[in-house]
Amino acid sequence: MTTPEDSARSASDLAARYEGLIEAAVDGVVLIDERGRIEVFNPAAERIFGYAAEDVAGHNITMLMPQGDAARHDAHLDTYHRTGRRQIIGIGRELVGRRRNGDLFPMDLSVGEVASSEGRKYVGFVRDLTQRKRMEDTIRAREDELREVVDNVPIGIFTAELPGIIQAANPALRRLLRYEAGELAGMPFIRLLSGGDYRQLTAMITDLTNGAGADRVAELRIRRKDEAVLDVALHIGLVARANTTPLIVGMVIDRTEKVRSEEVARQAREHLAHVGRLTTLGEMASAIAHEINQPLTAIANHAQAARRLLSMTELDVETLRDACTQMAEQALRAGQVVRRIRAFVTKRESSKELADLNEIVRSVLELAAGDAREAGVRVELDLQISPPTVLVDPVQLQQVCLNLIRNAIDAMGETAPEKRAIEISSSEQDGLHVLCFDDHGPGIAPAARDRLFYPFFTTKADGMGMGLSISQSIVAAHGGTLKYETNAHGGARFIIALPIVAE
Amino acid sequence: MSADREVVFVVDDDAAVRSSLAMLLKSMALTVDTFESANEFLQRLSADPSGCLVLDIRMPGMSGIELQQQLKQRGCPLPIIFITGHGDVSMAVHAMREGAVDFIEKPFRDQDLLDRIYQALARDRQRRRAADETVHIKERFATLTPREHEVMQRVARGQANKVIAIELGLSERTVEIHRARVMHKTGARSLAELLGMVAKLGLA
Repeated sequence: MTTPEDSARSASDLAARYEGLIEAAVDGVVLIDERGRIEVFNPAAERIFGYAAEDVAGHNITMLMPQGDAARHDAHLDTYHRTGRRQIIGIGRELVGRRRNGDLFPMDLSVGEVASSEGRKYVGFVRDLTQRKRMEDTIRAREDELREVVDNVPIGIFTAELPGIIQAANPALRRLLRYEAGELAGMPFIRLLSGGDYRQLTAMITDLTNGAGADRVAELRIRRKDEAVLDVALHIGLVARANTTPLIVGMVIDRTEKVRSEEVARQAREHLAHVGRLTTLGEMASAIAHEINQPLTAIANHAQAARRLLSMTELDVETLRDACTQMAEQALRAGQVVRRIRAFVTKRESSKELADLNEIVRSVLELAAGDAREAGVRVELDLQISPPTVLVDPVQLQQVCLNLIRNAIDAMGETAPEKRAIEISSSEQDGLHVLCFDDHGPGIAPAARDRLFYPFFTTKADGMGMGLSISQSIVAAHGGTLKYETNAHGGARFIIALPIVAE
Repeated sequence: MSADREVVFVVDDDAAVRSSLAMLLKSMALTVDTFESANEFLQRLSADPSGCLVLDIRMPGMSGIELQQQLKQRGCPLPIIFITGHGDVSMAVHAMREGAVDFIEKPFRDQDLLDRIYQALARDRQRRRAADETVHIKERFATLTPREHEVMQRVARGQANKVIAIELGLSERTVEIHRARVMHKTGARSLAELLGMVAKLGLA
């Protein structure tokens, strides 16, 4: 049983305990009566609003509100008392509070109704949201900045869900691909590809998801909405996310212009090479005519010998047959030279194919034989590698070889006749096919070596200075190198090194 | 030396041209020997070849022109027919100045080649005949006594018997006898013939 004293004591204990609770609360606690007058104003509320408890006691709660809210407050209370329709009680909401100095601030307010012997009272719990709002604003501003960057960067960016369904694309990507906002979302990225690049892309994504590498690049061709095809570089990375699959982030960089300018450069190089071949052949016309004249001479001789033999009483069938065989062979030999010339000067698209390097050298010798002969130069072959397979444009490589052989011939004008020789050797060195052209001329003067491969640089009285420049650009376009060194005889050695192609 | 030892020597580095020339010349009933380089020809060259040389003007190593010069230095008198490609006219002219018989442009008619070869062989035959004659003259002159030789030289210089007699301290009659012996031994039938022989031997 409890005595009244006990109850009085326990009541006062309870009151003290509540008071302590209210005093210590982090949130502001404000108690008002049913007319809105402030009865309790805890220290947290004092801190939040800048008023001391005694300053507000008995004043209407509206003093803590901005004017608009304050004007409506009494009406709200009346409405509630009359209809029981709750605007705020038991709900809580974000409102604006007014501090003593007039500053308005965001706050979270929860209101509860307290029934007491003195009638209805309302208790409000106030949390100052200024800090949180400020932080949220900062985050939002940062997000806006980031979005601004992503929206304005001239690189196409997209995010995609595995295995490659586009989630969002920035305006640059939409512009690049001519899509309207929202059209790309939900589309498998693979649908944008033009041609058979699927496997490369899927392999790349598989590698990434297996943790092999963090970022991958692929050069792809993709199709715009209007069907135009672009050359792009696609960078793909994965972003880990909590509790779900990683997000694919892709960057699409337009390479079309670059590819096109490379194409223009390639065409210009090919044109120059073709002009070079025409010039070379023009210079060689006399020597080549000689090369065709040789078999013609042999044919004429055999035919005239055969005619004489036929008019004899005793037919020498063996010799006649031999004459016919020789004539056929020589006619084919002349035809072969003509074919080489035609292949050499015909203007056509450059096309690389697997070719036998030794065969290329031999075919060039058919063209250069006349030149060598006129100049009294022997050509010695030492072709070691077999099978020396390279991925080349055979005509362009022939052009390089022919150029080097003709240079060597020109270089030996002052060499003693018995020493006039070119040695052509092929070998395999450090994973490269190496083709050497050695002459017995005076070599290249040290002062001239640096400029040897420059256009319009020449050491010849009637030279254009294009040969070595064109040759080097051709070899470079094949992923190889063309270099000079002085050989053991003090003559010139030009070295072509080309990557080996595995068959 | 006889005509049946005459050989047509062919020097050409192009195997097809070389063998076709050989076949053509053989079909003309000529004796042929072929060489693939000037050096090979020089190595296999006999001491006193007879016939003619069909020589390619352009060859690697030693050219036809260079071979011509070598032969000239060695005193080899073989007549040379150069075979040339087109556009070698200036070289051919040079070769002609150096004593080549002829040149012929590839490809050629067999008759044109045959004409030139016959011409060259005739020239070689004539040269050899002349060479033979000189040998004979030399032999006959070798039979002259020193005194007859002295008289012969003075006669060749155009001196009168009287002058020769005074210079050599002989009687004019003795000079006449020596002179008659000289004419007899050398086989000269006239003064003009004697002068010709002296010129050939380079004794004048």
